[in-house]
Amino acid sequence: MSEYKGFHFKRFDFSKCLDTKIDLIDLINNTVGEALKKQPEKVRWIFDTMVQYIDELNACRDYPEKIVYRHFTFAPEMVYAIEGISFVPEALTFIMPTEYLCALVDEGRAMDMPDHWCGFLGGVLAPLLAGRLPKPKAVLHCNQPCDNSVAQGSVLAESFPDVEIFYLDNPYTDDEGDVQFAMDQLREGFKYLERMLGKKLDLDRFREVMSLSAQAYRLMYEINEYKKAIPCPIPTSVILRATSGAFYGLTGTERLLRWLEKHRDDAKQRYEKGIGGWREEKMRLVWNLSWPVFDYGVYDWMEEAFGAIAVAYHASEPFYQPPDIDYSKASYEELLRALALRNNNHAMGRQGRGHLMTFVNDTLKWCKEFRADAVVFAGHWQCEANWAAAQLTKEKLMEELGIPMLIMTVDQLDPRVVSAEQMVSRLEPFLEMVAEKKAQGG
Amino acid sequence: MGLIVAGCDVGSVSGKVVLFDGEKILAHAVIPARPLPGRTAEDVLRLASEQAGVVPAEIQYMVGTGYGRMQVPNAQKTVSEIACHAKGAAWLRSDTATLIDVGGQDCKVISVAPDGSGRVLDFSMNDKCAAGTGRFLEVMAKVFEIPMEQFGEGALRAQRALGISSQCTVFAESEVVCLIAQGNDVDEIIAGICDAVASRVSSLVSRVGLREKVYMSGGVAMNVGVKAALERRLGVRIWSLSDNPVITGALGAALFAANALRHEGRG
Repeated sequence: MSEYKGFHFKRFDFSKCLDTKIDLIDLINNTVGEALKKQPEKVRWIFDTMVQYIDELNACRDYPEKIVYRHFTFAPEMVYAIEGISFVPEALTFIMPTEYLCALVDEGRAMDMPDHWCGFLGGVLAPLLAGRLPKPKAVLHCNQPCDNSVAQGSVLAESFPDVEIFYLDNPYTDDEGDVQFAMDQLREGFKYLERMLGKKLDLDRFREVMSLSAQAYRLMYEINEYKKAIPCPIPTSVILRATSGAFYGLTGTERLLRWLEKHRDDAKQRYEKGIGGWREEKMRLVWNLSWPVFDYGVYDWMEEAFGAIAVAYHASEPFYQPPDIDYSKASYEELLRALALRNNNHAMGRQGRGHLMTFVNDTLKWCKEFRADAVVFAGHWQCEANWAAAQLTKEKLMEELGIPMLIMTVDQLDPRVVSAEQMVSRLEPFLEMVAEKKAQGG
Repeated sequence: MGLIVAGCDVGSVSGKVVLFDGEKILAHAVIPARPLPGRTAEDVLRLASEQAGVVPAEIQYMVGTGYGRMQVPNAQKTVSEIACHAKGAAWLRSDTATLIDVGGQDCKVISVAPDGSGRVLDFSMNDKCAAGTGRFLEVMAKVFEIPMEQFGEGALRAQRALGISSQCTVFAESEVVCLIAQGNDVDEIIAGICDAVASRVSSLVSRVGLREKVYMSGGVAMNVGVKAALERRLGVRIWSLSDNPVITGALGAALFAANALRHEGRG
């Protein structure tokens, strides 16, 4: 631990020679899985999306014939519709202990992984190439949001030469032509999954999944209404941690609905009592692009020292508007259309496709909706597409809303790239500046 | 006893203290950084106190700044270097609009409010890399065995600047060694080094937007080669804050200390 103004940031021990050849699912069960069980009852629900992800990992062992690898910006509804097990290999890096993640990045580099691969994608390259992950029956991949994601498709092809990959070309916009373009591909995608898994898509199951997805999104919009309140009834670490888990992996499941309901009820209860999250709110931030997960102490410090609450997070804000249809009777085409719109607006994928202004305008929208005082662009160093929009976003924010934006580099998972202390060294002067601006009525 | 406050700036290269009476600087001191930031702070504070003829116990309020600010003994408060440099610069020159602070391990460009308050409007900093910092120049000065304070002078004599393409300090050092081995003119290499720093700094300036007047603080403000290269790249004159721009951050910290004391009704 290192201390800063009474706050303790994690100290990692990278001197240990960790055995990276161990079973990663066992590792996650024995470390994160056990730690989650020990969370106090009151807050345990917050982590349920992580528990659900671990349960899906474990299900891979029992049902290997159902494993579908899914790129993290590919809508999971497609996998759930065909009753596959959605396995996002790169999500393992999010959930494993940091020291192991770093050891796996190093192992990947020893296997000639280029230095410019980030911790998120790079941490899983070695286990993939070395055949240490469960073998998929099918692989859903896509062309966004970054070059390394695209290159990961080649890694998957090399890792599983006898498994055909379905590659989705995400369209730039939600124009009618682009929606049709996506629908045509998803139609082919289902045929692919049927062939690879050896089972037919059940239309009723597809209806059920898209209905669950629509309900989840409606709950997310409802939660967002509470987030707009001053003070925001949800603490930063919950906004950053929990909702993004929901967006990336679990839409279309019953269990996610239950979790979102708890999330909504918690926000509602606090809102009705007029109370904020865990600490007094003094300023509201939109957190953009990436939130380092190796040390949540940074966010606690930010809240404690400055009352700075991240009320919106780039990768967990909903954009998909579920079509207002009767899902129990919806036609295959109607469901496919909903899935195309959902997939086009998947967290991060939406801002990683097409025109740069999508990223800029989305940020402006969040700032207006959530009455933000400032924006933190924590740029994951490998998210090239979004980095290209950073300065433009900053200028537009100042020009149109008079809102300042901090631009800082991070790696979401690897503290050796940028440590918690380095993040704080950037955040502190910025938050001081915002506090002074607010004090002067700015 | 009148008002005595202190600002203590513990940087990676040096420790600085300014003692302030609410209106003027009573004393200031600068020492090379010790291995431990707390020790740097103690030593430089003792030196400044001796100069002012006071004992540290007479200091009514102290603000710490710089990367070692958390280790400044007896500091009642800490404030970031960005805010302190802006505050100090605006006190020295109320027309400061853009402040370039090139320190030992980082480089900051600060947009300062035009009202003379020293309020920060925006800033940008180098990210994760020593390129464009004092440390970069220090490494290069060692290669030539030229004292840091004279290092930039060669650049002014040069007919042209030899481009340094490496962005990394370590690789740039290798490149410079190669340029020397090839028999290139030393002044032209130095001009290239100064221009490399200016190039990094000017890209930071463009992120916050250039507004005049532009001032420089930090140790590199005294490097005439870097200053000239920056003026060329930015197309504006860069003004000197004072004869001792190194103490700007400590001065800003002392000003914050005086304000804090006033808020407590003691100043």
